[in-house]
Amino acid sequence: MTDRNLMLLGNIIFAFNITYKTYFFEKTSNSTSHGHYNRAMLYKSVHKAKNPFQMLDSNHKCQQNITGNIGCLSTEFVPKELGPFLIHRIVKHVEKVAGYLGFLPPPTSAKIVRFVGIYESRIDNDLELLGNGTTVYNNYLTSTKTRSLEKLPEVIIVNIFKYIQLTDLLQNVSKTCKTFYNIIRQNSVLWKHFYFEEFNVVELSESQLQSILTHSVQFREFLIPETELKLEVPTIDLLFTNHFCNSKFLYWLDLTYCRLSTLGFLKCLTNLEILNLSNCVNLIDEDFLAVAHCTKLDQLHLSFTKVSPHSVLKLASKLKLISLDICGVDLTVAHCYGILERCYESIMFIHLTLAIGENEQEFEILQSYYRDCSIVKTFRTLN
Amino acid sequence: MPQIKLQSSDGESFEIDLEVARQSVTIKTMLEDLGWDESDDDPVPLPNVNAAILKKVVQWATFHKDDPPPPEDDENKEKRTDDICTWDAEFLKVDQGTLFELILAANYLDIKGLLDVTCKTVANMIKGKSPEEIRKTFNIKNDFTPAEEEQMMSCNCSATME
Repeated sequence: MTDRNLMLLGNIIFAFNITYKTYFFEKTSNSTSHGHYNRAMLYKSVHKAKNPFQMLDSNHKCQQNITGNIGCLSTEFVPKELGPFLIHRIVKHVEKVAGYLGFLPPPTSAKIVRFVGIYESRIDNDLELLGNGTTVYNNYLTSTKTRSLEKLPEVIIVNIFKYIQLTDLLQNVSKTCKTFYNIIRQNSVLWKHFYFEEFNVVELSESQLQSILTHSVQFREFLIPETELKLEVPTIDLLFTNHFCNSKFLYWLDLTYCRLSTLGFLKCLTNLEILNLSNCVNLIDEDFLAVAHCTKLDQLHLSFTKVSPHSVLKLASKLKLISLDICGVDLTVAHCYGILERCYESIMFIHLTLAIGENEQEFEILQSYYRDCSIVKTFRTLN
Repeated sequence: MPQIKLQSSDGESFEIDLEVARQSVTIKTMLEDLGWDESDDDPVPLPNVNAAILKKVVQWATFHKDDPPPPEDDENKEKRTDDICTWDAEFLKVDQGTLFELILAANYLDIKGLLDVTCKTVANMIKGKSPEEIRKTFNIKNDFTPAEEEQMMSCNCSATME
């Protein structure tokens, strides 16, 4: 439930509560400030609540029963019909509750109607203050016969858009109307899978990259291979460092050919499983040691980078790699033995280059040695 | 089989199997909270669902009553829309207004399976269409100014990324 809906729900529960409390206080005291106090407390509890039933004072069992019931029936919106419905439920339960609370007799229906009326006007006022909330509320009240897609509540539209690829959303759906445009731009949940290749463009400006990275908290896959970033290298580093620290769900990062010069942000990407840094030529050997922070990593692509065989050996011993691409990094046969020995339990594919002058026969022996071992499924060499 | 009465917003009552009704998390939670038992004859009022839509919801829930609980969404994976079963596809051959009402009812009653399949159906009606085709399909007014539209068209997806 969104904050807005919680707020709306809070209003209706407040409406009920104040109706009852007003009755109660009319009987017991002349306090007029109680309603405001109660309102503030309710808003607080509504915002903290994980579900409608947690919104109420847990020590007040009978109150919880009634309002819980109301809450349950109005989990998403506050329909106009809830006024009469409130009365229906209150009248239905009032004797039981009044008995619990010991303030008999119950309020008359007329009194409740009067207070519910007051509430409806308060809800309208609150919705005015909530801005967009008014739209949601009014949309809900729209006749069922005239309801249309763009007038559905945002939560529903987002739920539909979750089934549509981001490319399609940005290239087509967002250009349909301003409502869709704003929903797609503002809902990070729709930006989980960012494959820049699919956009048929090769450049990203600073403002575009900044805008995309504002959704980084929801990123699952962020693939911008061979994308020309129209930014200075320090700006790229700064943007990635600032935004990827939020990307705790990110499991696939492809920065092939990116001009970044730091990998410090990798320590935040603890769920990363696939990392492609191939052809990131601004990275120096020491930078690659940060890859070891990504302990869930099983596919690593470091081809044509400045990573040294020594660093590869370190990473191979710390990670359980299934696939390793270090093509273009000159290795001796001894390095190859070292790497395979360190990750032989997990490795299934390795793509490497043998340094010029290395003994091919020794390498073939290594291949045959690991071919005997069923763990190594594929082995490819490039000279 | 214990029965329960559901009352639509327009006052029509539907007596259905309790197990069918309990597919709605909203109803299930409410019954648990109220300590509902089989002797309770009060209808459960559903003020956000009219009789026509409630009838459809009950029909869907009855057909799917023996389904295993829907799995939790894998947030890491892109969601599929090509896995709608034949019965559901036939069931959802309705006008757009009814389809949207079913989505709202499924959302309100918290019936994940119905919400999923109705949202997938609408998503399939959107996928792969141009902005103009989407507008035509759903009768949506183009409220962009000519300048805004020209800017978006000229720079492909770039405008929506900024």
